[in-house]
Amino acid sequence: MTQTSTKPDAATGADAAAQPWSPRIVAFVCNWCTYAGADLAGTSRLQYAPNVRIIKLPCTGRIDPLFILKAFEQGADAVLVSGCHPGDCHYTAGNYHARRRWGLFRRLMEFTGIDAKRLFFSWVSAAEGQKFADLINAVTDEVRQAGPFDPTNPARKRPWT
Amino acid sequence: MARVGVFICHCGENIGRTVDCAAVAKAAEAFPGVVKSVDYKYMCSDPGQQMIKDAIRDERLTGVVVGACSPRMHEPTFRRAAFEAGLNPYLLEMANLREHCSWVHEDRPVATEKAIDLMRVMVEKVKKNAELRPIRVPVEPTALVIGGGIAGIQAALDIAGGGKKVILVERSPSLGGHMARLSETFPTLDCSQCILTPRMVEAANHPNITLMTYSEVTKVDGFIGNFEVTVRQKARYVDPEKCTGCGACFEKCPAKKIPSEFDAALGNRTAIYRPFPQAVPNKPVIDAEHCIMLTKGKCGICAKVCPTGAIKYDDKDREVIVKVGAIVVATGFELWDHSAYGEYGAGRLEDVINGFQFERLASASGPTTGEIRRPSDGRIAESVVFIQCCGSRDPKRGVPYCSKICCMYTAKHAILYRHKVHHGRAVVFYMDVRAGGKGYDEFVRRAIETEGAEYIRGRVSRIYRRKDGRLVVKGADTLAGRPVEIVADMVVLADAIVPQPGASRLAQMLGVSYDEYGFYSEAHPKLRPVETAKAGVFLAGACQAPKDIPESVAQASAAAAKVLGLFSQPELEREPIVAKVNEVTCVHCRACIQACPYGAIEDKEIKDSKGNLIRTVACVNEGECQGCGTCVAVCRSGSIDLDGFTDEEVLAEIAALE
Amino acid sequence: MDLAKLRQDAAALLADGRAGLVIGFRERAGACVPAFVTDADQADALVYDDTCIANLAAYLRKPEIRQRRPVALVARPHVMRSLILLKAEHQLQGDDVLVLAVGDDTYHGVLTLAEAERLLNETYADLATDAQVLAEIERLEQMSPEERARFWSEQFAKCTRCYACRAACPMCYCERCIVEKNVPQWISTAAAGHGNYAWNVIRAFHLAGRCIECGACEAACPQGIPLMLLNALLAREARDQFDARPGYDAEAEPVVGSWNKDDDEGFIR
Repeated sequence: MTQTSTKPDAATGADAAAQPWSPRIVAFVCNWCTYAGADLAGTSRLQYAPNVRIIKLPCTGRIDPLFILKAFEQGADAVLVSGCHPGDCHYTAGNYHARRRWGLFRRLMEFTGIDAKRLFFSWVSAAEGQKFADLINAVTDEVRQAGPFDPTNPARKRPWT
Repeated sequence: MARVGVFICHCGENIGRTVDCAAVAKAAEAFPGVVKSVDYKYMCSDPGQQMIKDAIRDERLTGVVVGACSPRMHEPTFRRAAFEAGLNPYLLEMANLREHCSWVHEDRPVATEKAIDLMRVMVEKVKKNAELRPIRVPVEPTALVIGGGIAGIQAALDIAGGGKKVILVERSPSLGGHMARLSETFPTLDCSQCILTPRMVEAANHPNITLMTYSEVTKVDGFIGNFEVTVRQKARYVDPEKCTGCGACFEKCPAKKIPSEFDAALGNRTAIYRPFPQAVPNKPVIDAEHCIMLTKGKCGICAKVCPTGAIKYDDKDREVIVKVGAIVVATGFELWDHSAYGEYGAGRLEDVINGFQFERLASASGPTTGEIRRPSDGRIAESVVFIQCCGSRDPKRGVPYCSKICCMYTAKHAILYRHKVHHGRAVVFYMDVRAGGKGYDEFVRRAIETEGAEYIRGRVSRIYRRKDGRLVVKGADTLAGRPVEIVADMVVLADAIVPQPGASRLAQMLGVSYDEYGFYSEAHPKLRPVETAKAGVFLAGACQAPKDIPESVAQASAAAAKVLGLFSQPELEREPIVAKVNEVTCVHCRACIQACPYGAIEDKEIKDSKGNLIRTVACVNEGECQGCGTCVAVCRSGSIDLDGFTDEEVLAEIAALE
Repeated sequence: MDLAKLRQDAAALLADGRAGLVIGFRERAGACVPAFVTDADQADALVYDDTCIANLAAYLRKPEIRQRRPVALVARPHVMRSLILLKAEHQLQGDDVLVLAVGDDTYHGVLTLAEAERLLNETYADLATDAQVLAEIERLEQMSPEERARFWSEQFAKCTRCYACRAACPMCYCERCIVEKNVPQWISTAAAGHGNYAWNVIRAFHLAGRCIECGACEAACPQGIPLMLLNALLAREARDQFDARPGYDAEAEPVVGSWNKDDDEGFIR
C-alpha cells in the first residue's frame, strides 16, 4: 500500500506528507447480518466515514483472535468486530462462541497495552443499515480522538523486524 | 504465477458518480499479479460478462476480481460467467464498490481511494483462493417419520404421495396420536375421528409407507442422505400376520381393570387390547406388565380363544436398522401435570380433570358414550368450570410460554358441553383470550354470545370439595373487581402443552437442539422453521412448540416438501464452503467437536495396515458442515481450515490493508 | 510429609507392575529436578518439597513416556488439576495415570484419576491465585494503556523464543504449535517486536479457561518474564465471566468452545 492510500481522507495524488492523519479501521464482519446491514446502509444511501475496510467472514464464529492481532500488527488504528445479534446467528451459535472468545480476548489486549478504545464489538443485523452507519461514524470519531496507534506499541510491526 | 483480471463496473452512474472507475482500474493494474484491469459501464450486462469470459480465455486468468455491487447481488452471475469460460467459479471474487463505497461516500477522491483499497484486498485474496468443487453426497431416497400422530401421518402421506418410500414409526400400538382421542375439533366442530381415521387407513395401506407401530427409535447414526436408524419393535405377543382383528381375545381377557391410556384413565382396558376401535393396525397387543400369563405364567385364555393361533407368549423385542436419507420428527406433545397446583386440588380431586379427559367424556366413543358425567359418581355435570392457562404463562410453577391452543379448545369444550347439557352452566376463567387464526375469534365469540358460556377474566385461587361432593371454585373477576365463588360438578383445567417425556433424549440421539423445555429448535426461527440445525432432520407439529391441528398439518406438509426436494436428485450438491482437518497436526482435543453447532465433526480413527489404532483425529463430515468456521477459530494448533475463507486468504486480505 | 511412605508406594507400584514408570523429584546439586524411576530400587531417591514446582504432567505427552503407561506421577493439587483437564481434553484415559498425591504437607497415597478428582473437590476446591500475582495484576490495571504497553514492551523484548514456557506446560500438548504453522505464518518467529508480542499473547490466550495456575511456565522462563500475570488475568476473567474451574471436572466442556445464552455482552454495541 502506498503512503497516500493508507490515509483514506487523503485526496488522490496529493502530497502524502501534507495529509493529516486519519484513522485506519479494519472491520471483521459476518456475511449474514453485519455485511448485509452495511449493504442496506448503501442501498439507503446513508453517508458515513470512509475509514473502515471490511473483511467478510461467513460468521463471527470464524474470527480468530489472530486476525485481530494481525490487523494491529499491520498498523490498524482500531479493529471492529461485528456480527448477528444473539439468537439471530445464521449458524445458530457462532456469535455466542465469538462473544465468549472476545469477552476474554479483549481483556488480554487491554492488559497488554492495547487500549480498549481501539477494539470495538457490535451486533448489527441485516435490517440495521442506520445502526451500521452510526456505528462506523461513532467508531471513527472515537478513534480519531484516541489518536494514531502508537508505533512503539509492542503489538505493532516495526520496520526492522 | 497468478494472472488476475480486474473488472471495474460503473453500474451506470451508481458507482461511477463517486468513484473514478478508470483511476481504480489503472491503480489495480499495478497490483502484483494483475495482468488485465479494465472498467466498463455495466459489467453485469451481456457484453460486460462477455468481456470477463474473453479475458479469462485470452489472458489465461487464474483469478478474477469484479469491482461492482454487493456480492449478495451478483456474485452468482459472475461466478457462472467464470464457470462458462472454464474458470473455477471460486476463483472469482467481488469487491463491493457500490453498497460499501460509492453509495455511502460523497467525496470522489476519498471514495476512489477506498475503492482501490477494496480492490487490493480482493486481489490479494483471490490470489490465495483454491479451486473448489461442489460437494456431492449420495441420498438414500427413503424417509423416516418419527411419530404417528396427525403431523407424522400427514408428512408420511405427502412424501409417499411424492413417490418416495417412507418408514413411519409410532411408539404406541396404533397410529392416530392425540387427535384420535379428540371429540370434535375447533373451529368447525367436525368430528376428529371422522377426519382422521381415513388418513390413518390411507397411511397404513399406502404402498410407499412401511408402518412400524409399537416401535421406538433407539439409535441414530449417519448424516443427511445417509442415516442409519435403529428401531426397536416391541414385542406385541400377537402375530400380526395371523391376527384377523376379530376381538375374541380382548373380549375374554380376565385382566379388565387396567386404566386405558387412550381414555385418559377414565375408562379401563384389558391386558390384551387395542387402544381404540378404529386403531390402525387394528390388531391387539399384549401389555406384558398386566398380562396374567406373562406375569404369573397361568391363564392363556386369549391363546385358547384365538381362532388363528396368533398369540405368541414368547415374542421378543426386535431391533431393526433402517437406512434413510431424511428424518421427520413429529413426536408431538403431552399435557403438563397439574398436580403442582395445590390450590386446584394437587391432582387429587377426581372431578378436576384435564382437557384430554374432557375430550374423552365428550366423545361418542368414549367411556361415557359422549355424556358429560363426572368421574367421581357418574352423575351428569350440571355446572362445569373451565380454567385456562393451567401451568402456562406461569414461570414460577409451570412454564412461561403460552400454550396457544387452550383458548380455542376451552371455547370448544364450553360449546360442546352446552350442546350436551342444555341447562348446564359453563364458566370459563381466563387471563387473556388469544384467538388468532382463521375463524378462531368468531368461534370464541360464538361460545360467549350464542352458546351461553360465561367468561370471567381472572384467576381461580382455590378449588375444594363440599360435603355433598360438589366442587367450590373460588376466584376473582378482575374486570368487575370482585371475588367470585362458583359451585361446580366438574372443573376442566387447560393444562400447559409440554414436550413428550423423553423428547430431549431423542433430540440427543438425532443431534437436534432443543430449548429449555424440551421443544425441538428449528434451524432459523423465521426463514427455516421446518429444518433443524442437523441437516436432513425436519420438524413437524407440536414437538417444536405448541400447535393446533391445521398448523401441525401445514408444517408436516412443509417438512414433506423439504424431504421431497432433498430426494429429487440422486445426489445432494452443496456449496463447498466446508471445514477441513489437517489430520497430521490434529491432536484430538475435541474442542472443535464440542463447538460445532451442527455436530458435523466426529472422531476418526487412523489405523495402520494391520488395523492397529495409531491415533484418533477430528474429521469434518462434508455432508453436514454448514461452513460457519467456528471450529477453525477454536482450533489452537491451526489444524482446521475453512474452504473459501482459509487462514491464508484472510491473512492476505489483512496484509493488503497495511 | 510422609516421604518414606511415598517412596514405599512408588517402589511397590513398580515392583508389582501397576506402574511402568514413576515420575517424581530427586535432588541434584541442591535443587529439585524431575526423576524418572523405572526400578523399585531407585524409589528411595525420591524427594518432595515446596520447591518442586515443575508440572510433571507435561511429560505425559512424550511418546517415550506414554509407552510406559500406566505412569505414576508425584502430583500436588495443581498437577492433579492438569491431569483432570488432560482427561477432559481427551489427552489421557482415566487408567493411563496414577497419582502419588501430595498437598498441604501431606502425602495422600496412591490415587486413581477418579480418586484424585474427588480429593481435589473435597479438599482443594479453592486453590486461589497467588496473592502477589493478583496484586501485580491490579497494579498494572491501574496504569494507563500506554504505561502497560511500555511494561509489556520491556518484558516481551526479553523473550528469546526458547519456548521453555510451552515445554513446561502440560496443556501445551499440540504436536504442531500455532507458532510453527507457516502456511500461513500468523506469528513471526523472529525473537523481537511484534512476533514476541503475538507469541506471548496467543500462548496465554490458548490457555484461557484452561490454565490451572501451576506456575511452571513462569518458573521455566530463563528470562524472568512474568507470564503468570497473563495467565492469572485470563483465569480470573474465565472464572468471573464464565464460572470456569478448569481441572475440577473431567467431563466439563471447554470454556472457549462452549457458550451460555447469558454470557456478558455489556462490551458489545
